[in-house]
Amino acid sequence: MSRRAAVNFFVFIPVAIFIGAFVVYPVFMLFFRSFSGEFGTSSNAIDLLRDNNYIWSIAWFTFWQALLSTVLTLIIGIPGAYLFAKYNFWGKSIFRSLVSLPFVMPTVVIAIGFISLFSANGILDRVFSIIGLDGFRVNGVNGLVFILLAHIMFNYSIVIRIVSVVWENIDERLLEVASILGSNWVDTLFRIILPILYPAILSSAILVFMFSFTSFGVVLMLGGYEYSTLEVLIYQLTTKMFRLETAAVIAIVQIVFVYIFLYINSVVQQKFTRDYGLSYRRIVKKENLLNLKSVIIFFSIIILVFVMLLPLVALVDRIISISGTYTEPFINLFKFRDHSYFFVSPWQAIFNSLKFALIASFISVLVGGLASYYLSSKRNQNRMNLIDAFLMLPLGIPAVVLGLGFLVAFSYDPIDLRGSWIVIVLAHSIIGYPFVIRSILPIINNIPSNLYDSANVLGGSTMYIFITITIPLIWRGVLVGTIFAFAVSIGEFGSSLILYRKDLVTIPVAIYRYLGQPGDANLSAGLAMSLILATVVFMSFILIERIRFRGVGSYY
Amino acid sequence: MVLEIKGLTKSYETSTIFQNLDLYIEEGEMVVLLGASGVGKTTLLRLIAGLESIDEGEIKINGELVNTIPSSKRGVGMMFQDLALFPHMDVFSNIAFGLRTKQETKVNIQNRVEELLSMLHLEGYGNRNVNQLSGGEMQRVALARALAPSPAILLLDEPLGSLDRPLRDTLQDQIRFLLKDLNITVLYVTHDRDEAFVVADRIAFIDNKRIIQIGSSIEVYNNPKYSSVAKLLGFKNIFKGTVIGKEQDYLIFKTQIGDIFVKNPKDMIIDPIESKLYVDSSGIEIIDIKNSSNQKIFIGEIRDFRFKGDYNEIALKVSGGEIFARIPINDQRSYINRGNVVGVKIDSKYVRVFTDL
Repeated sequence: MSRRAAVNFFVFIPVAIFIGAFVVYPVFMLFFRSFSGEFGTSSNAIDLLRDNNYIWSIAWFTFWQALLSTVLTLIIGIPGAYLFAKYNFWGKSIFRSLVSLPFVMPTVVIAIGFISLFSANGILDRVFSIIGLDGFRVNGVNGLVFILLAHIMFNYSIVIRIVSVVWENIDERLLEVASILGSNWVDTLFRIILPILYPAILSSAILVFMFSFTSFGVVLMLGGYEYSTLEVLIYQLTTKMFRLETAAVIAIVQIVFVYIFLYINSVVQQKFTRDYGLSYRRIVKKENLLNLKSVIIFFSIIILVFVMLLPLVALVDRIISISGTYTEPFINLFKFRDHSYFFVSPWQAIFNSLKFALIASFISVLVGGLASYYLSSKRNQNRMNLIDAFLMLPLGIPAVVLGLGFLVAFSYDPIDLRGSWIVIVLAHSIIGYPFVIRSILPIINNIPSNLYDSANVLGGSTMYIFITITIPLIWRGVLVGTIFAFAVSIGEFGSSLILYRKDLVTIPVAIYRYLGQPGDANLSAGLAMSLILATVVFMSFILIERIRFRGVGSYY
Repeated sequence: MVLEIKGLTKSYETSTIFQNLDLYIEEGEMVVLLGASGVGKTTLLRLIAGLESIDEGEIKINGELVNTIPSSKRGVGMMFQDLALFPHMDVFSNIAFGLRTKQETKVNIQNRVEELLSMLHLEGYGNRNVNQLSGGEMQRVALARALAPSPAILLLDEPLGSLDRPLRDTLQDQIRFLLKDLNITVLYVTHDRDEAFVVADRIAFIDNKRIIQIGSSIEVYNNPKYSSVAKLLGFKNIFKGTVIGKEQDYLIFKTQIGDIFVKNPKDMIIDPIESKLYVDSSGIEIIDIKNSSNQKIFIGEIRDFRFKGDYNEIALKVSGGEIFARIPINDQRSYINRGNVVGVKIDSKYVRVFTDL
C-alpha cells in the first residue's frame, strides 16, 4: 500500500462511520420500522397509503404546486438568465449575488417577509392606497399565491445561475453560421439557442421542482389550513397526531421521489457534458450599455432584483411601522418575560442557535474536509464519483424527513438521544457537510498535479507538501465551507422543528412559535428575531461571496 | 463578376481597418487572401457575409448591391476557422440546416445532403454525432454545410488552420479539386504561403488597409511589388536602405549591413528617403576571405546550415544584421563550416528595390 493509499484509508474510516451512523442508519430505521409494524399498528405501510384520500389529496397538491412553481420560475427566470448572460452593465456581479440572496435565506425569514409585505398597512397596502386602490385588500391574498411567490423568489437564482452560464457560453459563431445559412431570429431561437439551452433549462427545472416539492417552512407558515405539502404532513403526523408509522411511510415515498429527480438530473447533466464536447475557443459577444434598449434592460434588472428582495425590505419596514422605531422591538425582545407554557426565551434561542451552529459547522468541516481529501485522490475515478454521489445523499433528504429519521433511529436503544441537543447538532452537520465538500473539493481538484509532482521531486514529505502546498491553496475553500455550514445550521428549520425540546429552541423555531401566538408583542418579537437571523445570514453570504474563488464551486 | 468590392472603408472606435479597398472576383475563380495576422482578413469575410456593416463603399454579389441586405439573405456560404458545427445536431442536420431555412421539400433536402455526403466521402455519416468526428471529418462536414444551399460565393476562413501538416496537405488538394469541379467562386483566407500556392487561381495580398497586389502565384512570386508582399511570400534578405550615391550604372544604397550596389534600371522610381531592398539568396556568393581583396564584399560568420531539400540555406552573421545564402547540397568547399568567417558577395543583378508607399 502506497503512502497516499494508507493516508486515504485512515481518512475514510471516520467519514464512513459518520455517514453510516447518521445518514444510512436513520434512513434504514425509517424503512425498517415503517414496514415492521413496530409502532403499534397492525396495518402495514402499503395499506396505510391505500384508501387514504386525505394523503392522496395532499400528494396531488404537492405535485401540482411544485409543477406550477417550476413553470412560473422558468417563465420569469429564463429572460433574466438572458439578461445576465448577454449584457454587461454596471453592478452586474452585485445584482447577480443579490438574486442569490433569497436562496440562502432561511425559509422562516422569507415567510415572515411575505407576511409583512402583504399585511394590512404593509408596503403593498400603502402603495395601493397612495395610487387610490383602497378597496384592494392585499391582506386577503390566497395562501397559494404566497406559496408560489415564495417559491419563485427562492428558486429564481437557480434558473439564473444554471441557464445563464450555458447561454453566456453559446459560441457567437453558431448564430452567425445560422444567419448566413438563411435563418431569421425566430428560427435561430428555436433551432439553435433553445436546443442548446434545453439540458440546462431541464436541469434547473428539475431542481426547482424538487425544492418546491419538498418545500416545508414556506408552506407551513404561509399555507394556512388550506394548503399543505407532504413535507408539512409528515411534520404534522409526527408532532401533532403522533402517527409515526404513517409519517415514516410518506417520508420513504418522499426520499424515493427525490432520488428519482436527482437521478434524472444526473442523466441530463451527463448528456449535457457530452453535447458540449466540442473543444473550440468560444467567442462570446456582449452588449454594453450604450443604446436605449440596453438602458431599458438595465432598469428592468434593477426592478426585478428589487421585487425579488421586496419581502426582505418589507420585513424591515414592518418592524418600524409596528412600533415606530427600529430599536424598540429589539429592546422589547430581550425584556420579553412570560411564564406561560408556550413561552420561548429569545436569549435561550439565540444562545442555542449559536452553539449548535458553531459545533455543527465544526463537525461539517471535519467530515467534509476529510471526505474532500479522500475524494481528491486521482486513483480509480469511477469509484470516487460513486462515493462522491453517495456522500451527496443528504442533499436529497428533505429536512423534515431527516428529523423524523433521527427521531425514529435515536429514540430507542442502542442509541437513545431523545431530548438531547446532540441530535439537532448532528442533523445540522449532516445537512451542512455536502456544502463543505462542494466548497473544498473543486479547489483541491483544480490544483495541478504537477505541483505535487515537482514538490515530490524536490524531496518534500507528504506532511510537508500538505502544509506548504495544499493548505495555502485550499484555506479559502475551507473557510467558505465553514461559513456555509454555519449559515445553513443557523437558518435550519425543518429538522430542528421536529427534534427540538423546550430548552433546545433555535432562532427559526422561536420565530415560528412567536408567529403562532396572538398579540403584537409576539409578532414584534418574531420580526425582530427574523431581522437578526437575516442579518447573520446576509453577513455570511457576503463573506462567502467575497472569499470564494469565482467560478469554482457553487451552491447547487 | 460574382463579387465586386469598391471603395470599402471600415473603422472601429480606435482604428481604421480598411480604407478604400477594392476587390473583384470572377465566376468560378478561387482567390486566396494572404495577409499578416491582424490585418483584417477575417473582418473582410465578415463584411462580405454581412455579419458586420461597412462604413463606406459598395459590395455587390452577382451584380446586386448587398450593403444593407442582412446576412441571412445574401446567399453566401462561409466556413469558420473553428468550424462552429452545431453541437446539438447530427451530421445530417448540420448539413441540412441551410436547406431547411429555405423551406426545401423533405425529398430535396434528403437528396442534396446525400449528394454532399458522397461528394465529401462522408457516406453513412449522416447519423453521427458531430462531436465524435475526427478533425478532418469535421472540416468536411463544415464544408458540406456551407455548400448545401449552393451559395453564390464561398468564404473560407483559414479552413485548415487547426489541422496538422499531412492532413492539411491532403485536404487542400481535395478542396481545390472539389471546388474547381463544382465551379464555385471562392474567397479563401490563409496566412500560409504554400497553402495559397496550392489553392489559388489568384492571390490577393492585404496590407496597409487595402489589397496591395493581386495576381497568379507565379506573377506575384516573380514580381512582388512591395516588401510586405515579399515577406508574406517568405522572402528573406530584406533591408532598409537610402540612396547615398551613384557609380556608373549603379545606385549605392546605405543599409544596416553596409553599402549595397543596385544596377539602376530606368523605370525604377526611387524613394529619396528610404527604400526596401531585397537580395535574392541565389545572388549571394560565399567566397574564401583569404584569397580576396575585393573592397565590395561583406565579412560574415557562418552561423547555421539549414537543409531545404534542394539546397542548403546558410545563415550568416554580418555586421548590423543577418543574411541568408544558398549553396548546393553537395558543396565541397572546405572553408564553409559553422563558425568560419567568410566573404559574402552580392550580385547587383539580384537586388531589387521595392516601391513601398
